[in-house]
Amino acid sequence: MSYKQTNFLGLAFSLPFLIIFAAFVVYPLLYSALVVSSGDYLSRVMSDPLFWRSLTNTLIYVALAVNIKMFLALVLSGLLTFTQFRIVKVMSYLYLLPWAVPIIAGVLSYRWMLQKEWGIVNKFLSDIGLQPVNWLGSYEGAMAALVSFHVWKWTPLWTLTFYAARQGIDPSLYEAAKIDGASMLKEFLYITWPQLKYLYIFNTMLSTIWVIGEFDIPYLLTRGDPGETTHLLSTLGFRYAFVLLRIREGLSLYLLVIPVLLIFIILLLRLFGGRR
Amino acid sequence: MKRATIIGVVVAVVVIAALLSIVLVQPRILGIGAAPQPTKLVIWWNKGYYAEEDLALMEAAQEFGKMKGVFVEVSFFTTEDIPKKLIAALEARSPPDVAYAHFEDWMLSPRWAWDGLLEDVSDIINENKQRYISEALQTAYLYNNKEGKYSYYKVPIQMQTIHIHYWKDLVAEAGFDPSPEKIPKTWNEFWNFWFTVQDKLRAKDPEKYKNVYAIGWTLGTGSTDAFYNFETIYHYYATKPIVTPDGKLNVDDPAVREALIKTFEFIVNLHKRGYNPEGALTWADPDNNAAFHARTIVMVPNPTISIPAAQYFGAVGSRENYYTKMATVDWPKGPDGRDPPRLIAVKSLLIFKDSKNKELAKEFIRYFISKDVLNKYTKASAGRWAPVFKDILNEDKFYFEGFKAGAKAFGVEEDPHIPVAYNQFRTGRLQPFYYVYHPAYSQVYAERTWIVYLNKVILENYPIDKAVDEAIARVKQIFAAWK
Repeated sequence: MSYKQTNFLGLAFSLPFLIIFAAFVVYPLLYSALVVSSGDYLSRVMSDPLFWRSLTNTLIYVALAVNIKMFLALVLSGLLTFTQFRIVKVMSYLYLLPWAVPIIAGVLSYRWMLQKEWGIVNKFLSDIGLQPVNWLGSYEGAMAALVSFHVWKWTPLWTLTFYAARQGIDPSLYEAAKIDGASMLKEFLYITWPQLKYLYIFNTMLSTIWVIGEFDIPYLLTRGDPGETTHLLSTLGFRYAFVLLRIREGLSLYLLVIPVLLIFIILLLRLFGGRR
Repeated sequence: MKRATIIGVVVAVVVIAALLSIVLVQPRILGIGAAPQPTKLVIWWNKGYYAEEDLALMEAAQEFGKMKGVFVEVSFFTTEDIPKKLIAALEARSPPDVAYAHFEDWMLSPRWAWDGLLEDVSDIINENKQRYISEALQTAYLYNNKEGKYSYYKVPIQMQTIHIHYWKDLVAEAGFDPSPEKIPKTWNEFWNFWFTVQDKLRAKDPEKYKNVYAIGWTLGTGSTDAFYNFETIYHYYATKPIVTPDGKLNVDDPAVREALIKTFEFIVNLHKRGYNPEGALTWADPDNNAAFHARTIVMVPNPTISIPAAQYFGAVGSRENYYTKMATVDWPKGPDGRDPPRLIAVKSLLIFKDSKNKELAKEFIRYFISKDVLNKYTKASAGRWAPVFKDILNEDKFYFEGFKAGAKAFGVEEDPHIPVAYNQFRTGRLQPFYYVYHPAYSQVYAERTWIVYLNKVILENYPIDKAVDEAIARVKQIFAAWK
């Protein structure tokens, strides 16, 4: 096959994707940029005190949710390798359940569990002699609820990626380390971590990109309450567009996030390319 | 030709064919080469609470379609979804021919009328003016800033106001006579009564009743109940309106500020004294209903009578609850002894400037608001909504008796909810929301300005007078931006 023929074939196969990509990614982005550049929407958004609060909340949410989740996933993926114990096998199946639960069912159940007066979490706290907490009715409690739900929901997915990567590590390395008398910590520091660290960084960056734009969990769990204190940029943009009927402000808010995402995407591609 | 090239050509042809099929079969998608299409009326409708409501609309649509020889396409959307669909459709300039959305009145139609996006429906209104309850009709008279004129931009079909429901058996358990006529009718006595019920229940059996509260007062900023409750209380305390009927923002009047402070104090005290669940700070509209059905609140103020209706239809609870364990009572007289204000939220049909079949849409609306057709639809909501037409509200005995026929089976003579609820529309002064006087106020509802600051007072112990002043400043900003 000639170079020209190969190109033609490649183009033909890529055409459906290119059309869809152009229609649903490039066009909306360009249209949004055009619309937003026709007014001072961005400055209006940035003059809203709620924007700065939402930006802070987003940073807190992303930093805590992504890092706690990745750390737990790394640790738990190690536990899953102890397959000689039957309990580990059983737990590994159960452990995947949160990932399988639809978000809406999970969030609504979580809302009820955290309910101040009748929720099971506060009932448990009362049973052990602690004061009930108004989880969703206070800023700190609601932010903690957001982070904890995200961690509960998404840790299994990332655990699987680490678990799969651990399977690729040559077992003879661990055997050699054992013969040399290395402790489990040293095995982790000198064998496991060097083999997983790029995946860890990759996962962290990829997750950051996803979580910056996460909408469903914050919208369903707190909707910005109590008192509009827990908005993230994603829910604030929605509020502008579909509650306040200020679509252009909503668009400009989302566009504002794109350069940040692009930086992460470029870093990710460089890292990925470097390891290929 | 090599095999790979052949495959490539086939793929390309398939893709091109797919595109062509879209262009030819669905010309309206791309707006080119459009062949004449049979007339189709597109209706977007807020899904009802009960299947009967949707069926009644479908029947009306089918009947209209037969009469006119047109295809009527009805799409149902949930209360939360339909505003988003309409906003997106308006942005894309492809709105439906007729739309009905429960939340349009507070936050959407005043803005759309202002921006010139709604079709003038004065002709339909003028034909039916005598039938309308005047305060309900007032809500359709909106300002079009593009054309610089007031006109009728929507066709009201039904309305709601806040009703008060309570569990009779819980009141009896607290040692009081639970019959509606024994519930106090004066301001302080009324509220103290519910507080005392909670106190007595908890004193009687602390373990059983530790999580049962006197009142379920929604405070979540995502709800509409919160501002409905807020403004109802404001109207009790107010001697002057926040916006005057001629559209002037009146917040600089000390009497308005004073009434706002009293409203804040009333709600904050109710909540902070522990007579309202703390979780109510995050309640959305259905949450007070759920808390009441779960019997964790003794009394609940709620727009529409969806709570007893849910019991009647067995969605939750039972018909026995409806007739024997629950009751609906009117609001008490105000702190100054005045009769209670009836804050009405009026729901209307809309036609958009960009609707494709405006004349057909008007014909459908004329047909739909005819006495029998609309009454059938309204009654299908089991009394959840009230008719805005006098000839329906005052003539059909359902709005006087409700489900009286089923009462005897439960050992009672009357329907304890519907007659009381509808009587609220016939007595006292009906008061539309402030967006009627100035559309900028629709943004105050959208932002939940008063509720956000109310939350601030509760959450951060923020001083009430400062919160009120800051909220007033925000409302002024909003009005200043609507030029």
